[in-house]
Amino acid sequence: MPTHAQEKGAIKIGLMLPYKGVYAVPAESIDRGFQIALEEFGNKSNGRPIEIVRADDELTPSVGVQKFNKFVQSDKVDLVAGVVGSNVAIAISELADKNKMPTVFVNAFADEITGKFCSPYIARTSFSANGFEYASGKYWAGKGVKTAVTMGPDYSAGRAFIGGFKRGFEDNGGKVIEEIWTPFQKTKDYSAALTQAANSGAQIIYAFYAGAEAIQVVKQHADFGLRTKIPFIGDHWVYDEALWPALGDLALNAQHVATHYPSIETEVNQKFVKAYNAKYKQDPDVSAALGYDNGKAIMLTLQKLDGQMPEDRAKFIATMRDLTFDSPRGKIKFNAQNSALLEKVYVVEVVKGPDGKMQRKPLDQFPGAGDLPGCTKSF
Amino acid sequence: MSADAILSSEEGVGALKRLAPPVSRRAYAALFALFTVGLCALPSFVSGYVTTLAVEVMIAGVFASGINLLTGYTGLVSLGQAMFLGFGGYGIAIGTALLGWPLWISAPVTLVVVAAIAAAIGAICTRTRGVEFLLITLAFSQMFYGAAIKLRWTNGSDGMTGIPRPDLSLLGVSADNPTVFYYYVLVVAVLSLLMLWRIVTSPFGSVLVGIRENERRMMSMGYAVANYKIGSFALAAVICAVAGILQSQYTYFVNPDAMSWQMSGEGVLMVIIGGANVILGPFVGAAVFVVVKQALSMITEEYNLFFGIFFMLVVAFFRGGVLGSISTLIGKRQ
Repeated sequence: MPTHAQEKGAIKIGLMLPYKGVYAVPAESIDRGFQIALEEFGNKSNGRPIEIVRADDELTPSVGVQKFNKFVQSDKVDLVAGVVGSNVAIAISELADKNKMPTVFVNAFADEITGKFCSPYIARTSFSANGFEYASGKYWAGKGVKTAVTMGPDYSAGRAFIGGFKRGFEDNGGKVIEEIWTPFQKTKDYSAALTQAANSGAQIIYAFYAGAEAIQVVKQHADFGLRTKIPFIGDHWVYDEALWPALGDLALNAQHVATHYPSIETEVNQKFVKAYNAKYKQDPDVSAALGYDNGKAIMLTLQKLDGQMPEDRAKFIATMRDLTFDSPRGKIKFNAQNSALLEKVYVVEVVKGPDGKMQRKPLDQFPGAGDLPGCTKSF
Repeated sequence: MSADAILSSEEGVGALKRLAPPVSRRAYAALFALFTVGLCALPSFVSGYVTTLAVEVMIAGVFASGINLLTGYTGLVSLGQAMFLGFGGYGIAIGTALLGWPLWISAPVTLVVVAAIAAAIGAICTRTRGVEFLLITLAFSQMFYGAAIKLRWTNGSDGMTGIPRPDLSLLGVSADNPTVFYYYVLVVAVLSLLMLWRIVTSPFGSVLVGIRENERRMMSMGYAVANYKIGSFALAAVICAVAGILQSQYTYFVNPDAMSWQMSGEGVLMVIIGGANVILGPFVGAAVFVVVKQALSMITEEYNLFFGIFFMLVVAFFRGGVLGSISTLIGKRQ
């Protein structure tokens, strides 16, 4: 395969994240994790320095499209990384495909991203919603929970996560008796939804929320005195480390599924946690780990390509698909739709450690479920 | 009494003289020609990104022109025009992606359907005036926005992808190329503008201006004011839908954001910045709007705050918008 004339200048990576708004907290962690990964490679690939161009997609598809165009036409980036919101990811998928721009999503968990909207120019280094939440549904059904009411923000990722939980829960004998959707990014008041959930007669509320929205929902759930009536169960975004200072004791004893937590005892994870702690004086949360994986996957792919972007840029993603590497959350492998698979899903409990600080205690673990099928584009 | 009759009557001429911009028609044609030539040459001496920005400006300009017909010429301030922007985008998305029609069928069908829906909505909305009109258009727009978010067959809040650009392979070029797409948008924008110019300089347009200035008087002269208002509403909607089609082709994508009331508000801002009831006003407004916002967002993250200040300055110092105040200046000299 011919490559561009051996380029010596910097490799430009466009990093698109929602630095403001409800996902500002995860966005910052991702950016930090991404930088840790690049530093591990000395911010260079085969002698070529790596340059990051940042853009804020404001978690809004139209803004994301605009920033993506700027990346391609003004900044002339070699590839695009980042993207948290599945809504933004869907909006730029077609553009990435038409512009033949390798795009490596850091989050964008909705099943459709590498399903209905899949493209040979797109990869996802995180996982699919189904791969993650299916295990959660299975776990809670196995714990004797028979009925649940779900709550989530009404957009692609919210629906995908709740859908994954529902499949896992109902395949194992549970029943979701009501699904409640709240407007994404447009509300800070969850009282109506929480009241409806409390009156549903279900044993638990199962929810997906992240960032500022997660803080608001968990606090309002406690304010309405529902903690004793109907437990509020979520995943590692609802009870994210980065939110612990805001949640305080509300996060204590929360049991949830996680793909990563700082005390996983693998060499790769301990090294990552140490590097992160040294640079930012705090433990990494799951978003930081995902940001790290995103950066590492890109750097390893560039390494395999001798620091050059191939003429046929789909080859960049094809090369990434052949990667297998150790990440803080386990082994990363890609499937035929260019989405990373989950090796392990942990079930953990937030407890107070011997030092009085909050930490996670492992309870159980599952293999991640597969992606939902659906990619129709040929590779 | 026909429109021509009123215009040739002494009162009519007097009224028109007061209302017409103080620049001659010939000067306008020259300005318009200069504008077009300049835009034709643009891609050859600027970077690809500036071309893309120009595409955004032109699309916003077409959208704002639709609002201008309604707001600037007819005097009906609407906060619901994004509804028709969305209809344009969703129209071709549904036509091409869901029904599998080719683009050259989807686009005209979309415009005809939009005209019909707009006439129906307009028939209800134009029974009110002033703030009530503003609120009822907003209410309609929010209703469709809500539907767009909830509907599963249009992918709800995720929107629809895979919207095709025109197939220009007959000309030996691909509309996926930014420069080619630029010229395509330019052609559509110029055609829309010419159509708008034809409308507002026609007797029909004079009646609209008359309605803006003194609705009761037009009524007492025997004009079916209600029908003229509905006509203006439907035509404005079609122009906004054209912008919607271009917008969705530009991004290959449409989602409910296109129909949000903020979008309607931005369109009205563009009209005010550029100058209401001047044909090119909305384009100048769109250019100022897009470029200033872009420039501010490169300087600061809190660009919306500074954009608000900028807007206040424009309103305070440029009466009648940028173009409006320029033509007033020229008029004073003459």
